[in-house]
Amino acid sequence: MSQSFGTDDYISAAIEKHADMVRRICFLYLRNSTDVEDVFQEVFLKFFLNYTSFESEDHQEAWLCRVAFNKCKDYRKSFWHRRVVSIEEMEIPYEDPEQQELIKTVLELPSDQKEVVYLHYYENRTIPEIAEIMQKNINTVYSILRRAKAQLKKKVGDDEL
Amino acid sequence: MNSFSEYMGKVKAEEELKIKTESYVRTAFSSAERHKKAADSGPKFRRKKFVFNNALTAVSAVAVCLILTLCGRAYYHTPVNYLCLDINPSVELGINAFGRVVSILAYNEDGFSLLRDNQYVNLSVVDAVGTLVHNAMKQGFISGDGSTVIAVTAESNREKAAAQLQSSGDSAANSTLSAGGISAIVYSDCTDLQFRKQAQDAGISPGKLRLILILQTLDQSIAIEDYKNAKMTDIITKANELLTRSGSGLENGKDAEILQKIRSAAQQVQAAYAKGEQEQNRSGAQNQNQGSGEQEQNQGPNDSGTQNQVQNQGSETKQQIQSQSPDTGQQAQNQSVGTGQQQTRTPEEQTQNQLQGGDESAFSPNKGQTTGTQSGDRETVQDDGGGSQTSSATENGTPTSGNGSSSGTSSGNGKSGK
Repeated sequence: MSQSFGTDDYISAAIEKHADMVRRICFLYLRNSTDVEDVFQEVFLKFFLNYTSFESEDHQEAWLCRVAFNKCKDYRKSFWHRRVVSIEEMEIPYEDPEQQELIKTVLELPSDQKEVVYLHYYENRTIPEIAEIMQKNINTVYSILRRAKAQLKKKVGDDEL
Repeated sequence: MNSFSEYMGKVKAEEELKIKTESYVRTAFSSAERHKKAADSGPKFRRKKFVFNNALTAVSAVAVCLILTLCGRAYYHTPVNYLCLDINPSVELGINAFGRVVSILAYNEDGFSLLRDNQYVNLSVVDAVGTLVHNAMKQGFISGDGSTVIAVTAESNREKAAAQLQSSGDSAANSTLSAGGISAIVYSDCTDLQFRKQAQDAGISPGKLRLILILQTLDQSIAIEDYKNAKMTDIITKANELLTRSGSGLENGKDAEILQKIRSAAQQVQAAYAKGEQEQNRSGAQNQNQGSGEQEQNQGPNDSGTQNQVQNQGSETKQQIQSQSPDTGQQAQNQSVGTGQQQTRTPEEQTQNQLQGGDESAFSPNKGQTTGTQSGDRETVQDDGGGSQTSSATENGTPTSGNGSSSGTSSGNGKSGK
């Protein structure tokens, strides 16, 4: 990110770099493209407005994860989202039925378990990193991960984990 | 969890979403940056705005206060009711909505003299009327015999306010009169402000005009000008006279209450006049008695004093007469004696002269004879025949007549001496 902060190139590069991660986090919570778009834009705007407070690239990603999780949860908790039924279901084609079952089971997990599973299995974050992102105790994160695995085993079996 | 990772790997942000987000972020970010720059360089701007806002607020507050003050002041100084006081000084007090006197108006010269001090503004109705009546008493507009009529006329468009004002004025006037120890007749009435305008057009106080109009009702020949400068007492008396003449027919009209008031006031005036006359007669009689008593009291000692002096003088004269030679004639004797007396006038004689009015003739020798006659040398004078005159003069009583008589007597004696 050699571009100076605030320029169009810098904004484009920053979006390009973190867009997929934010989009995946949105996928965990939201199914409507409009909702995704709103959350996506708000997360990135907040990112650029708080850019100067980041210490490192890792800190940036951790911060973005935290903000994206919170925004998605806030959005789902909002009055409008709770009352209006989404008519657009964003579906990505699955390779096999086991994969579909696994994804559906993960998406049905409670928020904290879903977040820990995503960060641990996809982002390959360590438990202390996850604890820092989620602002929770490490043991708590372990417990959450353990409960999430137990849920997934119950649904999809040991082969998938 | 490989299949989970593979599936999540497929989830990517769409290009359209990126472009939209980029556009949104650019716009919002530049706007936010502008605000931020403004905020960063803003202390001065903000301070200026703050100062401006403060100044604007202060100016607005001052303007509002000023407007409120001016409005309040104008409201305070606007008379809504009036109270007219007529004795012959006719004055009018403007009363504001708070019951305070805010304007004063004199309808004639006496009114001007009553309001000369201008000490009535901002007073309450009771205090102002009290001060007016007190000043009227001081300046002699209210006679001591109790026959003066003070007309208190309340002027208001609201009946309740007029009645209240009338009552206040009436009670204030009465209490001031009683405090001052002077009796007068307080005649109170009320009119509306339209009538006030009519009175002002006529250049006369409303209270007086009201009574003059009643007079005109009773007698068509009466003009307003006739009674414009008349005392209220005279107007009331005239009204009662006309009422008595015209009979009770008018009392059935709408002004029956006013006519009754007028009649009552006029009766009080007549009673005051009658009482005054009685007191005058009584005091006149007392004065006469006291005068005669004093004269009697004064006469006694004077007579005796005179008598004593006359006795002394008589004896001197007698001595003088005796010291003169019998060869000289009576006239010569009289002249010499008279001259001698004039030349050798003793202080006692001067005192006698003063008592006798300083008449030089009193020092005539005949007088000396006369006084000698009066002094008790009656036996000697009785031979001249003047003693009877002298005694009769003494019987007349008053010292002056006595002196006159004695001078007359002396001339008689002088003639007789010839």
